[in-house]
Formats: sequence, structure tokens, C-alpha cells
Amino acid sequence: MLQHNVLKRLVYTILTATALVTLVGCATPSRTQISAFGTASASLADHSKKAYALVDSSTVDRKMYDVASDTKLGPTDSTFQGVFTGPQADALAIRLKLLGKLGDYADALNKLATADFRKDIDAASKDLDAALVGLSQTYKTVSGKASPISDQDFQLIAAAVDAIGTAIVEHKRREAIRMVILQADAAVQDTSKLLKEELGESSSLASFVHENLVYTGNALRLTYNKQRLAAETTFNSRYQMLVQIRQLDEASEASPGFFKNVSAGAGKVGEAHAVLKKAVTKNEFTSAEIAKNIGELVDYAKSVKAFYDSLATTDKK
Amino acid sequence: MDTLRAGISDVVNTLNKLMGNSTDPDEQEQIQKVLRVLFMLWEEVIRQEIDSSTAKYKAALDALSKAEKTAQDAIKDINKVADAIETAVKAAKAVDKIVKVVADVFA
Repeated sequence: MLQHNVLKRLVYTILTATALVTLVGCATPSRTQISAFGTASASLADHSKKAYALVDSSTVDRKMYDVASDTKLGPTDSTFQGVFTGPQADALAIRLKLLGKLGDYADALNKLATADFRKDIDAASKDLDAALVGLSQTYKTVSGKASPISDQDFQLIAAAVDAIGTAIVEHKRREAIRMVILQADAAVQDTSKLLKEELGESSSLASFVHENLVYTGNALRLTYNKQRLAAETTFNSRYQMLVQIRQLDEASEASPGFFKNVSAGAGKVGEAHAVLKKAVTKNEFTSAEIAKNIGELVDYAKSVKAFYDSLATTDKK
Repeated sequence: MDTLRAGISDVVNTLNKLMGNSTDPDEQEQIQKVLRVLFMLWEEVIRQEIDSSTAKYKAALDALSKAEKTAQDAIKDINKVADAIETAVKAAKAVDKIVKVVADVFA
């Protein structure tokens, strides 16, 4: 009998398609909103990485099921190779780095908004600088376009953060946050747009994953049809295969929903950051619009996280 | 269907449906062989930067379009499965003239 960890990992994709709930916007303190943005987008960046990983893992799973369903085939090195090899491995690596830097930025912004002591502000400042440099450089590599954050922007951010002072003067912290959000917005918008398009429900990568999963199920159907007439098969063994086929069918049907959520979440990162930018420009940190946008972002991140948590839990069984 | 990626995706999608609808293992194996090659080509098309302005590219798109139509017909009429496989093989060969990875498979 085949080892069906792949089923365990994939069948819970169904959860992602239905996990969204409507959020009601409400006015909350500004630092809480920024903190929520930081946490949610860091989480979303992490899970977008897993969407790329799913492209590779579904490819390898498809090949393994293919070999297992054909007694004339044996495994070779290529059986265990995903799509992202050779030059594509570099392309994937730079995208994963870009996602990581987006997460780092959000995390550092969160720290800046919540730090209680000067040493924490200094640490947040260092993280922020590294994240923005990385975000800027990796975006430049991926897109081939000029860096969205100039050296002058970095200097403005550093000066604003430094001005917060030893005793953490609150209005200066707000000014530093304002400066960071304004200067980083172009890089966040460009990154968000790139991910939204590349990982969309109708994207080439989403179609590829979907067809990988359908084919994997078809390899099991073929095996079932070959074995059903054999004398040694039983009702139970046939039934178990049908259960597995059904699980793969459910996973393939749910996979576009997974990509839809990741893409929508990437779009929400851009939208939420744009609203933050608008609010800090007008010095209106506590608008209901911000709360609504960030609430939706948190929700997208939760739905994607729920999918992976389910997979992890099932794998341990 | 204006790119090789989209063209292969459409053909694979239709052949996957055809294979999933069949309960004849011999027929499924025939479809599986073509799908196996199409997936190899699809992976390569994702990896490579391909010039879309060539005559070979246009010929491959046309072949993929025919393959998808024939496979759609076969979903409605089980007697047309052999035709679907034949046109899909032709489409795969047309794509392979561009990406050049699986020529030996068809030898």
C-alpha cells in the first residue's frame, strides 16, 4: 500500500476556501493597528512562501504516484526533483527572500510600535533598516526595476527613529512610524502587486498545482482499476483506495481556493499599507477604515495559517 | 490560449478529466503516457524563457488548441479517445520542437 502522507497534507486545503469571515471595522488605538498590520503581514509572508513550496511538493508527489502506478517504471533522480531547479531555483530563492524581507519589515514596524524601552527601539531600528535594505534590493533583482527606497529615504527614517529619544516620547514615536510608512510604501506596494499576480487563483502556478493534484488522483484511479479484478483484493482494500481517491479529489478542488487566499492576502498587505500611509499623511491614525482593512488582513492570514496548522496536525497522527 | 503555459494547461486539464472519467485501465494507461510527457514539457516551459514570436511557437499553440478540442470531443464521445491521444501526441511533439527535452520519448 502506498504511503499517503500527501493525502494528509493536501486534503485540508478545503479549510482555506471557507475560512473567511466578515469583519466589522472599529476605531482602535493607532499603535494597535500598526501592530496588527505587522503581525498579520509577517504571517502572510511566511505562508506565501509555502505556496511556492506547494508547487514543488505537488510536482514530486505527482511523479511518485506516477511511478508507483506503473510497474514498468522505476524511480530516478528526476522523480524527486521539483520544478524549481537550475535557473528556476535562483528565481524561487529570490522570491522567497523577498517574501522574507516583507515579513521582516512588518515585524520590525510592529516592534517599533510596541517597544517600551530605548534599547528595544534601537533593536527595532536595526531590524527595520536591515528589512528595508533587503526588501529594496530583492525587489530590484526580481523586477529589474530601480530600488523603490532611496538612500535619502533611509537617512530620513534613521533620523526620525533616533529622535524618539531615551524616554520614548510618544509623539516622536508616532512621527518615526509615519516616516517609516511613507518611505516604505512604494516597496511594499510593488512587492504586494508582484505576489498577488504571481500566486493568483488563475495564475500559471495555481493551474499547475491543481493539475498535479488531479493527476495524482488519476494515478490512484488507474491503480484501482488494475487491481479491482485481482483475486487478492478485498472489499476493504478497494474501499480504502476509494477513500484516498476522494481525498485527493477534494484537495484538487480546494487548491485554487488556497491560492486565491494567498493572493488576496498579498493584495491586502498593499491595501492595508496604503490606508496606513493615507492615515499617517493626514495624521489620522485611528480611522475606522484602517481598522477594517487591517482586520481583513488579519483574517486572510488566519485562514492561510489554519490550512497549514491542519496539515501539521494531521501529519503527526 | 496565447501562451504555451496556458495551452499545455488546457490540454492537461481536459486529458486529466478524460482519464478520470474512464474505468478502463488500458485506456487510462494510454492517456497517462501522454500526460506524463505533457507534464515534463510544462515543467520545462515554466523553467525556460521562450521566444513567442517564432513560427514554431505559433505552430505549437495551434497544435495544442486542436488537442484540447479533440480531447473535449472525447469526453462527450468515448469512441474518440484514440483521436484525442493522437492529437495530444502531435501537440507534445510541436512543443518539444521548442523546448527540446523529451524527443527520445517519442522515438
